[in-house]
Amino acid sequence: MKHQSLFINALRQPDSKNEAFTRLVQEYKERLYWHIRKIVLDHDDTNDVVQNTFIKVHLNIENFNENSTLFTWMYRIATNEALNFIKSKAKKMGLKNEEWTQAIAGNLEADPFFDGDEAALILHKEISKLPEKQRIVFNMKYFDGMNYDSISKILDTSVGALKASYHHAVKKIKTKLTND
Amino acid sequence: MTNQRKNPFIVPLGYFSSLEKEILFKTKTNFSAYGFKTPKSYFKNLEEDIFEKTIGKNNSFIKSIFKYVFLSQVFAVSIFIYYSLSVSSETLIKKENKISFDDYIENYYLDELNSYEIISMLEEAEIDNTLKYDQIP
Repeated sequence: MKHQSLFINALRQPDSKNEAFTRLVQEYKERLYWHIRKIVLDHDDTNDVVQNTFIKVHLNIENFNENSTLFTWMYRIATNEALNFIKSKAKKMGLKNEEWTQAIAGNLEADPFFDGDEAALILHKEISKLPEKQRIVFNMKYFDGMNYDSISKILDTSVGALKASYHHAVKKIKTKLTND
Repeated sequence: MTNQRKNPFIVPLGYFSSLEKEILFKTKTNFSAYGFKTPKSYFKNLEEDIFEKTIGKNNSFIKSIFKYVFLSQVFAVSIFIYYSLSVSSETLIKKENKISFDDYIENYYLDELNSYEIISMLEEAEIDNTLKYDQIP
C-alpha cells in the first residue's frame, strides 16, 4: 500500500506524471485489453474502449481516493467503459445489450482476429448468452483466475452474490454443452 | 554409489526460475485470450496511441507554443532583414542616381555646350553676377 501511495503521488506530480503513467500503461495494457475484449468481443471495439479507459485514468487520477488498489480502480473503469460501450451500440441498433453481444458472438467465425478452435467458439457463444453480470463474473473467475474478493471490489458486489452468479453461469453453460 | 546416482545433465544458471515465469506467462496469456487474438505488434502501437492521446497532448501543447514563438521570431527576423535590405538598396539606388545625374549635368555642360550656349541658358541677373568676375580691367 505504501508503494502504491508513492506511485500514485508520482502520477499526480507534474514532473513525474508522464514517466509514471508510461509505466502504468506498460504494466496494465494487456490485462485490461483482455478483460475488455472478453466483454465487447470485437478487437476494434476493444481498442477504442481500452484507449478510453487509459484516457480516463490519466484524467481522473487526481480524483482517485485510494480506498481501493489502483488495479481495482482501473478494472472498474475498464468494466464500466466496456458496458457503456455495449449499451450505446445496442441502443443505436435498437437492441438489448445481450442481443447485441450475441450478434457479435454469432459472427466470431468470420472475425479475422479470432482463431480459436471449435470448443473455444462454442464456449464463447454460450458465454455471450449469459446475463451481463454473470458473463463478466464468469470471465473474471474462469479465464482471468481472479478471486471473489478482487471481483467483489471491482464490481462493487458482495462475495455471496458473486458466488451465486458464477454458480448459475457455470450451471447454464454445462447444461447447454451437455445437451448439445 | 553416490557418484552413480548423480545426474550427469546440467541446465543453464537460473533456468528453472525463468522456465517457471515463461510457462506461467504463456499459459496465463493464452488462456486469458482463449481464441481471441490481436494484430501483429498491436500492444506496442496501443501504447503509442495511448501516449499520443494523453501525455502527447501536453507535449503537443508545449510544442505548439514553441512553434508559435519560433515562427513569430522567424517572421520578425525576416521582416527586419527585408526592411534593412530594401532601405539600404533604396539608398544605394538614390546615391547612384544622384551621382549619375551630377555626372550627366557636369558632362553635359562641360563637353557639349560652348560658352554662348551657357550664357543663353542663364537668367539676366545671373549673367550680370557671372560676368562681374570678368570685369577686371
